[in-house]
Amino acid sequence: MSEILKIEHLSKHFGGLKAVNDVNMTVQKGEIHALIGPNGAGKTTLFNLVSGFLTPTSGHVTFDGHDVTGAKPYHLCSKGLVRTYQIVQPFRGMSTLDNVMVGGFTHTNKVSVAREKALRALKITKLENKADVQARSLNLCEQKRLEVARALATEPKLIMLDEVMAGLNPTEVTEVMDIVTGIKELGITVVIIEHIMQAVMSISDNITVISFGEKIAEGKPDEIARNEDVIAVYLGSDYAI
Amino acid sequence: MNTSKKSTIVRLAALAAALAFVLVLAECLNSYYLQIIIYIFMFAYFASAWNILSGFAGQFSLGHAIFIGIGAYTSTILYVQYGISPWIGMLAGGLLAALVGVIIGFPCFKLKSTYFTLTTIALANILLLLVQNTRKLGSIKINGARGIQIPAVSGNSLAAMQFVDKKYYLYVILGMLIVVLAVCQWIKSSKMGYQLAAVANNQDAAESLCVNSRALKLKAMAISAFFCAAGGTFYAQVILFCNPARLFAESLSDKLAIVAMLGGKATVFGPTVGAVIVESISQFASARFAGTQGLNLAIYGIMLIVCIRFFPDGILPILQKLVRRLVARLRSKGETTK
Amino acid sequence: MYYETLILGLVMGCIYSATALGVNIIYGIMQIVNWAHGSILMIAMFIVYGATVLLGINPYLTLLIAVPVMFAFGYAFQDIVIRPLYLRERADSNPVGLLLCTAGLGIALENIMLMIFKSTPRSVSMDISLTYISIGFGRKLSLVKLIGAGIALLVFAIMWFYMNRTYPGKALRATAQDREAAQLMGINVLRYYNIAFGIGCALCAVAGVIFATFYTITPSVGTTIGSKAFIILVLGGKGSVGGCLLAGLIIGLVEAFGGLFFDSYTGQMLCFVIFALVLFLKPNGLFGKKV
Repeated sequence: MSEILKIEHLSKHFGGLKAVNDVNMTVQKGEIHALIGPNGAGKTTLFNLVSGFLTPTSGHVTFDGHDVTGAKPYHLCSKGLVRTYQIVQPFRGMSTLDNVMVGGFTHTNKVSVAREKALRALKITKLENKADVQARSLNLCEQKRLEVARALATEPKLIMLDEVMAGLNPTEVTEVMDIVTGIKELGITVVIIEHIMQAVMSISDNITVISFGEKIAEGKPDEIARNEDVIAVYLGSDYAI
Repeated sequence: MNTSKKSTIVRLAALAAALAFVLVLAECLNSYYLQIIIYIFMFAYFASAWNILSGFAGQFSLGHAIFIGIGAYTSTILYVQYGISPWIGMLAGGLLAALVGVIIGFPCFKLKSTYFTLTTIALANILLLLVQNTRKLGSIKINGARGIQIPAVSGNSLAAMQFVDKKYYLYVILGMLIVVLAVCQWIKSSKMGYQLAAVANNQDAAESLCVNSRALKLKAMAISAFFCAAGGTFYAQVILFCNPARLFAESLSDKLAIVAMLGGKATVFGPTVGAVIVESISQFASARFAGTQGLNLAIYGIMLIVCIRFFPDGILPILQKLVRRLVARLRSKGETTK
Repeated sequence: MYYETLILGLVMGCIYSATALGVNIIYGIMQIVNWAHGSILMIAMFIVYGATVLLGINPYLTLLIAVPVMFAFGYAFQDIVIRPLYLRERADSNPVGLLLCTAGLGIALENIMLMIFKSTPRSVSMDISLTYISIGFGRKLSLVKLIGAGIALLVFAIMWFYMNRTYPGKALRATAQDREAAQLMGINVLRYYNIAFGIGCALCAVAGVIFATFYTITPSVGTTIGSKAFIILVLGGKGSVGGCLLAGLIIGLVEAFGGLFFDSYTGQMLCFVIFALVLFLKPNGLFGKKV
C-alpha cells in the first residue's frame, strides 16, 4: 500500500485558540480512515484545512505526491480530493440529478457525459429513484446521501466525509455504512469523521484520534479501543474492554 | 427522448408563430403602437442580459445602468465626433463595458451578496455624478448633464442605425433579443449553466465540486455587461439623445431588476414575459393618465412588492403550470371523445 | 473659514448619523437593508409639513405625531409583508427578495407622493428659521441646524440607553446575536423583529423632523438623504450605535470639506468613493465587529 494523503505538522490558530496543533497523519491508498475525537476537537477544522477552505498557520499537506498546502478547493477537487459537509449544503433550487451533475462536470464539458456520471453516482448512493425531485424536498438521510453522490460524481481518488451518519436512525446508518464500504470497493480512499462508534469500529481500517487540536492516538480499531489515553479523553472510563 | 424531441419541436413552432405574429403586427400598427412594442422588446432584451449575471449567477446587481450608459455614450461619441457607424460603436461599447464589468467584478465578487448589491448601486451613482460633471474628457465632448444630441439622418439608414420608419427599429431589437435569448438558452443548458446555478445556490458547496466561482462570475459579468451595453447603443439610437439622467439612472437599473424578477429570474423567457407585463401596464397607464408624474414608477413599486410577496419565482412558472394543465385537460378530453 | 466648515461638517454629521441610525438598527438585528428608508424619511417630512402648515403646530412638536405614526407603519409593514418573506428566505444563501421588497416600497411611496404633491418644493418656516447664532471666532451657524444636531445626539443617547440598559433593548440585541438561543430564552423573536422595524421607521421620523426644519421638502428628497444613510451604514459597521455616529461625522466632514475645496458635486462623489473603498477593503465597516 502507498500513501495518498500526508499531513505534516499541520496547525491552525485562531488568535489564541489552537484549533489544530501540530497534527501528523497519513492516509493509505484504498483504506477507510476514520478521524474521531470529542466535540470541538478540531476535526472539521482539519477537514477545512485539507480541503482548502482554510489556510493553515503552518505545516504541509501532500496529496497524491503533490504539495497542496493552501490550494483552492476547486483546484484540489480537480486533482481528486473532494469533501462533503457536516451540515448538508444542497443546491436547494435544483433537482437531485442537477445537483449531482455539477460534480459530474469536473473532467468534462459535455452535458451527456456529466449526466451519465451523475446517474452512476446516484445508483451507488441509492438515490436513482429521486433523480427528478427538487433537492430541498429530500429528507435528511437522502440529503446526506446527495452530498456523497455529488462528491462521487467528481470521480475522486479520495473522498472526505464529514459526519454523514449524524442524525440518522439505526436503519439509515446501516444503509450509509454499506454505501461507504461500497465506495471503498470502487478503489476510492475514504476519510471519515464520525461519532457513531459502532459504525466507526466496524468499517474503518485505521483510526486517528484528536483531542483539543492534537493527535493523541492512531492505529487499528481494536488498538484504539484498548488505548488508555483514548478511553480517558474520549470514550469515558467505563468503556474499558 | 422522443417526447423531449417532440416538445422542442412544439416549442420552436410556438416561437416561430410568435415571431411571425410580431412581424405581421409591425406591418399593421401605427408608429405609436410600434414604439410601445419596441420598448417592450428593448426591456425584454435588457432584463435578459441582466438576468445572466443576477439571475443565473445570483449576483444581484442594481447598477446595470452603468453598462447601458457606457454602451450608449461610446457609440454616440464615436458616431457624432468621429463619424463611425453605431454598429461598430455598439461592438466597441460592448467590449468596453465587458472590460469595466470585469474590473468591477474582480474586487466585488469577494463580497457577500447584499454588499455586492450595495456596491453596484454606489458605483452607478459615482459614474452618474462623474458624467454629469464632465464637460470634456481630453478632446472628447461629454457635455455633462446636458447630454449629447445625435444628429438625425433623413430616411432609413442602416449604416447610421436611424430609421424614419419605426418598424426597422423593431427588426433590429427583435434580432438582438433573439440573440440574447439564444445565448441564455445555451448558457442554461451547458456546463456553465449548471455551475452558475450551483454558485447562485451555494457558493462553498460549488467550490468543493470543482467550480471556480470567481472566474465563472467574471465570465457571467462580462457577457451580461456586453449585451447591456449593446442595448444601450440601440436605446440611444431610438431616442437620438444621450444624457446621464436617463442612461445612468438608478431607476433604469431598478427597472431591469423589476422586469426580470416579475417574469421569473434565472429562467430564459422570464424577463421577456416580465417586460411584456411591465411595459404594457406602464404604457397604458401613462396614456390613460397622461401628465401624472410618478405614476409609472409607483406602479412598478407596488408590482414589485406584490410579486415578491405572492409569486417569488415570478410569473413565468405560473404561466407554464397553467399551460401544462390546459394541455393535460385537452389531451384527456381528446382521449374520451375517441 | 476652515473652522466654520469644521463645525458645519460636525453638525451635519450628527444629523446624518441620526438618519442612518434607523437603517443601522434594522440591519443589525435582522440583516435586512431597508431600502425604503429614504422614502419613509420623506413621508415623515411631509407629515411635519402638513401638521405645521395646516394645523399650525410647532415643527418640533410634530415629533409626537410623526414618531408614533411611523412606528406603527414600520411595525405593520414588517408584520404583513416582510415577516413571511423573511421566514421563506432565511434558508437561502442569497436573500435578495427582502432588499427588492423594501426597494419596491421605497419606489412606490416616493412616486405616490409625487403623484399627489407634484415636485413643487415646499418648506417649513418658523420664527427661528433665519436665526443665526455665534459659534465663536466671529462665525455664525443656523440655529435650526444646531438644534437638529442636539436632537440627533439626544436620540443617540436614548437609543444607547434603550439597547444597553432596558430589557426590550437587551432582548433585541440577543435576537440579533443568536436567534435560536433567544427563542429558547422565551423571547418572541418575530414580535421583536416587528418592534425593531417599527423603531427603525420611528427613527426615520425623528430624522425627518430634523430635516424638515431646514431642508427643502420634495417627494424625491428621500433619495438624496437616504443614499447618505446607506453610506454611513456600510462605513459604521452593522449594529454598532457608536460606529454609526462616528461614520456620520466622517461623512459630514468629507462633504463639508469636499464642498469647500472643490464643489458640492465632488463632495457628494467623494462620499460614494469612500463608500466603495470601505466595501472593498473593510466590508465589515470601519468600526464593525467581525461576524
